[in-house]
Amino acid sequence: MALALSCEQMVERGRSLGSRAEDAEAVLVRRSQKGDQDAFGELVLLYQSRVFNFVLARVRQRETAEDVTQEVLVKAFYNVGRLRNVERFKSWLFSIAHNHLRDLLRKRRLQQVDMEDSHLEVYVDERGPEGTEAHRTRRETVRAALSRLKPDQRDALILCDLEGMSYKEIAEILHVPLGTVQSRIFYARRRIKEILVREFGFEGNDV
Amino acid sequence: MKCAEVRNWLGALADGEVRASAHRSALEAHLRECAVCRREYAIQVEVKRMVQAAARVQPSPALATRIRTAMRPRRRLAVGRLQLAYAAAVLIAAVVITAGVLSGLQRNSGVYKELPAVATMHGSRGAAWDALTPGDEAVVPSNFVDFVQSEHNQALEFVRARSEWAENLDRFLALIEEDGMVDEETHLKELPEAETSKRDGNKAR
Repeated sequence: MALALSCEQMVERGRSLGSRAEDAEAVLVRRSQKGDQDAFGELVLLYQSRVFNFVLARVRQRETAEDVTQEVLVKAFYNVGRLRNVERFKSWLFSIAHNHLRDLLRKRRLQQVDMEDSHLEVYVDERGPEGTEAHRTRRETVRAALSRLKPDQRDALILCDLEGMSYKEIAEILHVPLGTVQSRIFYARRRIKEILVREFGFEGNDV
Repeated sequence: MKCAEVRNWLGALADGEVRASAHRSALEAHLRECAVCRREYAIQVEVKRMVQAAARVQPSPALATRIRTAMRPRRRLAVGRLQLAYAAAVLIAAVVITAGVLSGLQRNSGVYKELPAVATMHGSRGAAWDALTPGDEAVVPSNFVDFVQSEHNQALEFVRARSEWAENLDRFLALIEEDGMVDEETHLKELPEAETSKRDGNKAR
């Protein structure tokens, strides 16, 4: 059980560190609510990449993802005054992103594009972090596998593993029960494993 | 615990989401004894690590600037000092002129109401006369027509001033509208259009 404990300890440590950052963030949110654009600018710097990645996983085109990210953050700026609990800024922001994407995909039938697009091309990140070619390829392959998931599973998994959100936060953002989040994440990881082994030739012990 | 029941919780266990320690202990006890569930759990842990390690794709460095630019207060909020001073002047003038007009009209309304009675006075002063020209000893029946004309001219002046004030107010409102006041709904609706054109551009390419 050493593996399980180590995993939980990591999660707890992350949450402890996160709580201090959340205090500072709450201050920025309060200032933003009073119309302080510099404060919201700080929040933009904190969240633009996170929102962008969440959006990118759905729209799959960098330029579109940036446009949607901009729309989401501008929308958040003009509505931040309505947020009652400043501690919930993060889940509130991702709620806006989730709802905005849902409306956009419904309206413009991007869903179809989402499912048909070539997945590898889109996720290649030319400005990605330094690393060996093998590491870079592995990262891109994982992103490609992520893009093959059902949208509901992908949203839950990205919010959990990439954004480090709790199941409760994810349930609020996606408007689904806690058990559904738990189930989506479990099956999303299983599906990724299958994709990596069957479609990208990963060996079983690579996963 | 049965395998099917345990597997429902393996993702949550990997995420530290099994809060009840008794439940967690039961799951761990099962994993110690069941190789199949252990493999399932290993998949959950390893895929989680791989997704975390996949790292975020960085957006364009210009994105933050684009967002800040889009956040800039719309002109409604950025009315300049000159415009604010103008608005304040118009408002003050409005209050003063309105008060004057009301006061003037109130006084003059007495004049017009009493005119029929005046016509029957034939030059004599009395209680009715005094009520008509309170405290104004200079007004006598012989110059009463001039007095009425003077009051009438004052009333016209008040009406003219009020009309001018109304025109100024209209001009001020038109100035602000021309200056590009955009309400929030319009602003938000414009964004998807920009997005459409860019995407269409992408497709064309």
